[in-house]
Formats: sequence, structure tokens, C-alpha cells
Amino acid sequence: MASNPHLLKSFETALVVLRQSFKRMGTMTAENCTLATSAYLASDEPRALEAITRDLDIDTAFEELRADCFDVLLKFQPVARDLRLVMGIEHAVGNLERAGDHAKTIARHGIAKPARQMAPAEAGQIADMAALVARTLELSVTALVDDSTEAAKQVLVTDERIDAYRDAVFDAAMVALGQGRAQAQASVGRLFVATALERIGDHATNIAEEVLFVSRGIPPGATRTGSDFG
Amino acid sequence: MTDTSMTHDAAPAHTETKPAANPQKAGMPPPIKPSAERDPLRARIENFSFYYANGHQAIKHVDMPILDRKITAIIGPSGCGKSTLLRSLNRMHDLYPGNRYEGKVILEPEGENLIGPEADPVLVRLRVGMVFQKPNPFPKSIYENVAAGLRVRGIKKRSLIDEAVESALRRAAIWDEVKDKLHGSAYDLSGGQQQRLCIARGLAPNPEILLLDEPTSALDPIATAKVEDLLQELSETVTIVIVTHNMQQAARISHRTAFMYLGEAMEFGDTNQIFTTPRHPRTESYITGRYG
Repeated sequence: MASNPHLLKSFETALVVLRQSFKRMGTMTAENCTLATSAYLASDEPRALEAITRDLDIDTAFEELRADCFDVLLKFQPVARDLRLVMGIEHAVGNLERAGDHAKTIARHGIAKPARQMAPAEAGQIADMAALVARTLELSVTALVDDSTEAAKQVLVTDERIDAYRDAVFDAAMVALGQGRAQAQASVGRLFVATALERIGDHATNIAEEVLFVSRGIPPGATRTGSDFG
Repeated sequence: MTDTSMTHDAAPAHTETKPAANPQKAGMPPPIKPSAERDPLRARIENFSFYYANGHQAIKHVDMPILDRKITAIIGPSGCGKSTLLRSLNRMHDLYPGNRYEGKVILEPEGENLIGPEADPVLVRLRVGMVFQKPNPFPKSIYENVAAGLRVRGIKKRSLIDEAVESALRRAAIWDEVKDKLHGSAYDLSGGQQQRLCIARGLAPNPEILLLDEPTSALDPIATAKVEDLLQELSETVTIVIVTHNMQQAARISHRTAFMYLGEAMEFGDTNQIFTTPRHPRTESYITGRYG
């Protein structure tokens, strides 16, 4: 019954628009994560600058979506699932904005001159991690837009794989610290990037946790494990 | 609300939601422990049904606790029986022949059944006051409007009536506005003042419960705000049951909310729970504006 459209068409439209805008911001953020990482891996300064510039668009989308959320609250005074959806999106856009900041951090590492050429395996590891993070971020956004606890559960499970990537880069950096300045410098730079990617994954997890809040009214704090999504 | 597992003994535990045949299957969350378990009751509506003289059953087996010194809001679409239920609580339907009650409305702590044959409807109305949708002062002075209920109660001593009139007008937050024109016509007051006067009239006999049937629907936002503030203040000393179509109002001022549909109480619970995580799909559908 709750899936029936609202009798007030303007309210129905406002929620549809809110979902669509949020989805667009999610896509924008995930794409910038990919762009920034590719700029870093290729030490491509123009591409890195493009990613940094695109972060401004993400910031603008964040401001607009927050304003849209307030607008819906003001005009329609939603309750129950509708209220949770608006609050969930309002929280989630903050996570996307922070994820965008981390992508910008990654792009900045693309501008810095590398201490040495990255080994193919090392580059592949970061590329794989970035691809997984971007997919996970988009999945979290889809989960919220589609009210899919199944998709949210996948995000929570994937976050553990993202953490594992970051841990592997950390371990490699520890080894590299004893292998001379150039090795250490490159490894620490890679660790910063992996950490930024891991933080983006955390924001995807936060968004996935909002899904349960929206779907069932259970506060995100009560969902730190994936068991509640079962 | 028609859950047969509901118990209403001296210290009742309230199962709040009208259960689905299989709540798990219906995807409904587990019940939240209601605050009613720790709040004393002022009244218990038990397996209550109401039939109009033409045989139409307007209320169907409603069970509902009315918490002491709390505001209980009754919401639901037009024709769901919320006003009928409210009017049953002070025997208003007795004014028309052929209407019939079934079940019980127990006033606590005495345990008196307000709709039982032994209960005098006039006395019930003194214990359970009513304020209507449109302000309906008597065509008398402000003073006489408030004193009317006291006179019905048999109070004749002028000083006692003076004292009670002032007390009721103060409790209704209108004393300062009318104290210098107590013997002026009630009709000279604004709509909002007239409604607060009607609340004062309802309060004068010192009722245990005050019923309000859409008391602000005819008022402007300023008068509505005054009445809402007033009701919240009054809820510290008197039990209030309010019927309202304004769900934001129910969310703002009530402690407990009941959702009625087709004569049944579908869900009853803490107001915050009802408006954030309703458990019955029909409640969700109604309050989110998807009913139709």
C-alpha cells in the first residue's frame, strides 16, 4: 500500500525529483573517483585538475540537494517512510560530498611528481580498488534510491574487501619504508590514495546504512553489521 | 486493536498494533515496547462497538487505552468513526433514540462503565467534557457560559461559582482577555476566544477527561497556536482526547495516536512511532497521503 503514489501529485513529483538528483550526484561522485584515480596512476596533471574542478560541481550538487530536502520538508511536511527518505537523502548527500573531497585528494596526488615509476602490480592493485570503490558507491546510491536492502547488504559486504585492499597497501608500505627513500616515498603516496579510497568506501557504507533506516526506521547506529539486512 | 491477546486488567499491558494475520510474513517490524506499560490509565475502551438507530455499525470492536493526563489523538479518513467514537465517550449518542453501544468504556480508577445502564448520561458529561469543531458559546454572557456546567452540577453558592469561573477561564488561558467584560456577550469574542471560552466551559465542572472534536479547524493559525499551547498545558492536569484531520497537529501536541479506518482502530501507539515508523501498512498509507 505504501508503494502507491501520493494523492498529492506535487509531493510525488518532488520525491521523484529528489531521488533523481541524488542518483545524479552519486554517479557524478563515483565517476570523479574513477577519474581522479586514473589521473593519479598516469601522473596526468590535466586530468587531475579536471577531477579537482569537477569536485566543485559535486559541492554545488550537495548544496542544491540539501536545499531540495529542506524544500520538501517545508512544503509537504512528510511523515513515516517519506520523512525517513528525505532525512536519509539529506544525510547521504553529506557522505557523497565527503567522498568527493577524498577523490580530490587522490587527484592532488596525480599532480605531485612521482618518486619512481609504479610497478604494474602496484598500479593494478590501486586501479582494481578504485573500480571496486566506484561500483560500491554507485550501488549504495542505487540502494537508497530504489529502497533496496539487498543492494545495501552487498555494499556492506564489499566494504570488507575494500578494507582488505587498503590493508595490503599498508603492509607493502611498511616493507618499503626499509627499502630506501624513493621506495618509501612512492609507497606512502600510494597508501594515502588507498586510504582515501577506503574512506570513500566507508561513505558508501554509511549510505547503505541509511537504507535500513529509510526502509524500516531502524537508526543507522544499530546496523553496524550486515545481519540486520538479512 | 482487536487483538484478542490484549489485556486490560488493573495494570494492563497494551499490544498496540492491530496485528496482521502473520506479521513476519507481512514484513512488519517487531513491536516496540510501548510507554503505555508504565503510564497510568484514565479510561479503557474495551471491545467497544456502536450502532446507529438504522442498524449501521459505525464502530467495530475497538480496544483502546486512554492514558491519564496525556493527549490522545484520533486520526483517520472521513467517515472512519473517529468522531462517533469520541462522542460515545460522553454519551452524546444517547440524545438520539435507537442508537446502541456494546462493550465497555471504563473510567479509572473507579472502574465505572460510562456506557453501562447504571451510568447517568448527564453525570457522565460532567466527568467527560466536550468541545466541538465550531465554537458554540451559549447566547449568554461569558460568565454564564462557564457557570452553566457548574449549575448543572448543583453548585448554587455565588462565591463558589465565581471562583470556579475564574479558575476555568485561567486554565483556558483566556482570563486576561475577558476579566473586564465577564458579563458581556460571548458572541462579542473572536472565534479563537470563543473556542477557548468553550474549553473553559468544558473545564469548569472539573472533568476527568476533555474531548475535543477538531477544535481548531475553524480557527486561524494564531488562534490555533493558542489552543494547541493551551491543550499541552492542560494535559498536565486533565486527560485529553482529540479528533483531528490535521496530522501535523496530532504529531505536535499528542502523546499517543490512534488511527481509525472503517470503524476499526487499526493502530495505536506513541505519536512519534506512529508518525515515523507506523507498523500497519494502512496507517502508513494514510498518513503519507497515499490513501485512496
